[in-house]
This record gives sequence, structure tokens and C-alpha cells, in this order.
Amino acid sequence: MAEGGRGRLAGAATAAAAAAALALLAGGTAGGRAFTAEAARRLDIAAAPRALPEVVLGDPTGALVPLSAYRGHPLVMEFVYATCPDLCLTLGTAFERLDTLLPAGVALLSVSFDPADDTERLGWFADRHGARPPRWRVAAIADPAAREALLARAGVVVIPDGAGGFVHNAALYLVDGAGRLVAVFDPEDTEGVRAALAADAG
Amino acid sequence: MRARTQAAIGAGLVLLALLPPVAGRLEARLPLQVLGQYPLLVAGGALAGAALARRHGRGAGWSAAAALLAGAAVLGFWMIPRWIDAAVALPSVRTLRALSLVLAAGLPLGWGWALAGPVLRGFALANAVPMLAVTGWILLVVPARLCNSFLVEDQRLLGRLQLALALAILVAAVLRALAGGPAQGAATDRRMRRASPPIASPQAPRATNTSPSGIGSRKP
Repeated sequence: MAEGGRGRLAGAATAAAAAAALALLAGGTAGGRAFTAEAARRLDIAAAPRALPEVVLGDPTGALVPLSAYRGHPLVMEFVYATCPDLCLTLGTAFERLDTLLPAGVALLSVSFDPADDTERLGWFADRHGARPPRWRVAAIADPAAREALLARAGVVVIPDGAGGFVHNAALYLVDGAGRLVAVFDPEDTEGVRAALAADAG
Repeated sequence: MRARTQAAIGAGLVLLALLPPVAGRLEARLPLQVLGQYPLLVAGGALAGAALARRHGRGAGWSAAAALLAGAAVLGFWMIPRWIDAAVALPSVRTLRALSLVLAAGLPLGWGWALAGPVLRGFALANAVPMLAVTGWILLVVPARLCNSFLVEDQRLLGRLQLALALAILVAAVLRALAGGPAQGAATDRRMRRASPPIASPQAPRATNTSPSGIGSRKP
């Protein structure tokens, strides 16, 4: 092969490799919009709302309420654990703000992912933030399989923090009247939740 | 080192990285995963790739840049936090990652490196080292936790280690250049036809690069 021919071959191969590399990295990040699993989850949920599985919620009063009982009205959810020292306090505060911000027809639901959260602990969390059902219910799911199914469906990832607590991808979850998870917001983004609900209502 | 020995060592590295007790420990912490398991898998594939190039790389110098680029892209893909998380969550992605780090990252990187001339090698390093440093810096300065499956402390530690590694490679390269040794690189296709074993030999003869592109080959 002549030197020039080999040079052209090298150029063509390199260009092809560059195109493939670009396609791989663009495809792997949704065109640069999702470098993290968190961003990917939000894009995915916004594009294709997810029906949430049925679970039975137990609140501090001992009442058992199926998640499907919330159908017919919008619902804002968060996933917390009662002894959380930081992130869940942010989430709790966000819910306090939503409690005053959102119209009466919208329900708030704080779901614990910690199997150790009993009615007493749930009560601490509810009292700390002034949560009162039916507007704002703090609840745990007794059945481990059902709890895991809901967390997996919503894309909630919980890992031990190495100090007896948990680290989790904290967020605010908007569920529509049909029981579908339609949007995920940052823990501080109460305005985003309000605006999304207003847009839906309008 | 004979090609077969080299490939066998590569296979050993891959097996070590995937051995359940070792893999479990390496995958439990983000820095161990990225700077422990990834390099073992990539090096394993690269040794096999270099051995392949030694045996069958004659006249294939044109493929060096493409192979390095493709291998780097696959390695880069698995550094994306989204896919680090996906590999933790889904066993299928974890398997695909192990396979592709060996076959689609390591193998072409070893092949391409063995066939690359000194200019291409230098160009590849000059891109890889800043990339390592910049991604390490991002891991340090981004306020958010980038991987849902790992603690932010792990992310910061990986960032610091990547910066340190980039600095170490840079210092080593500068010292070597100042020491005045010849740049290392594969021999030309022309010389490969004459001599054997022609490429990637540590005692490559002193030569200046006179090829027109300066990439992929050099002439004695």
C-alpha cells in the first residue's frame, strides 16, 4: 500500500472511531442532558410517567391507608427516615412550605424507607414538622417487598451512611390523580412543584 | 515478553478483578472501583491487545489512532456517573461493563498503543492526563453527590486521587523528557516487514520521526 493510501486509511478509521465515540458518549448521557442517574431518572419519568405499585401505608395513629386511596387528586410524595439528621429535615421543611403553598385538593405524603421506623418514630417526624392527616400523612410500609417495589419504581436509592443512618437521593415526587409518578423535583424546589400543579390545573 | 505470556498475564489480571471476593471489595467503594478494578480489567485487555498487535499488527499502523480513540471512549463511558450507578443497580450492566472494559477498552488501547508511534503516544497521553485531572477536579468541586450508589466522601476521595495520579504521570513524563531519552513508540510498518519482533520492543532504536503525518508510524 502506498504511504498516501495508508494515511487516508488512518484518517478514515480515526474519523469513524471519533464518530462512534461521540455517538456512544452522547447516547450514554441523553445528548449531554443526563450525566447522572438522578438526571436520567427525571428525564425518563417526565417522558414516560410511571404507575406506582399498590402499597399499604401505616401512619403514626395506626391507621392503614392504601396508596390507591389517594387516586383522584394530585399527591406530592417524599421518601425519608425519621431519625435523619439532615436531608429529611430539608424535605420536611419543603413539605411545610408546600403545606401552606398548595391548594386544598393536593395531598402530601412522607413515606419512610427505614424498616426501623415504627409508629412512635413516625410520630416524632410528624410532630416536628406539624404534619396532620389527611392533608399531610407520615407513613411507613410494613411489607418489605411492597416497600422495595415502591422505592424501585420511583427510583429511590438508599445506601448506609456508615454511621448508622442512610444517604438517599432526596427529591419531591409529583403523582397525578391516576396514581402515576409524573415529575421529580429537587428537595428545595417547592416553587417547581407549585408551578407544575398550577399548570396541570390550568 | 512473549506474546503468549503477555496474554496469559492479561487474563490473570481480568480474573483477579472479577474474582467474587476481590470484585466485591473493589466495587464497594467508588475509588477502588474506578482506580482499582477498571485498571485491572483495562490492563488485562491491553496486554492481550498488545500481544495481538505484536503477532498480527504488521501493516496495521493505520488503525492505531482509531483504536486508541475507541478504547478511550469506552473507558470514558464507564466513568459517567449515570453508568456507574446503573452497573450497581443492574447485574446485566455490571457484566456488560466488565466485558467491554476488557474487550472494547483494554484490547483496542493495547493494540493501538503497541502500534502507535511516539507522536501519537504523546498526543494520546497529552489528552488523557488532562482529562483525568479535569474529571477529578469536577468530582471535587461539584456540590452534588454524582452517584446515587456512593457516598459523597468517596466521590471527593476519587477526585483527589485522580488529580494526584494525573500529576504523577505528568511529573514522570516531564522527568523522562528532561532526562533526554528517546520517545518510545512502535516501529514503522516498513521496518516491521524486515525485522521480527518489530514492534513495542523496549530497546527500540533511536530514531527521529520523519513520517509525513508523524502519527502512527516513524521511519528509522
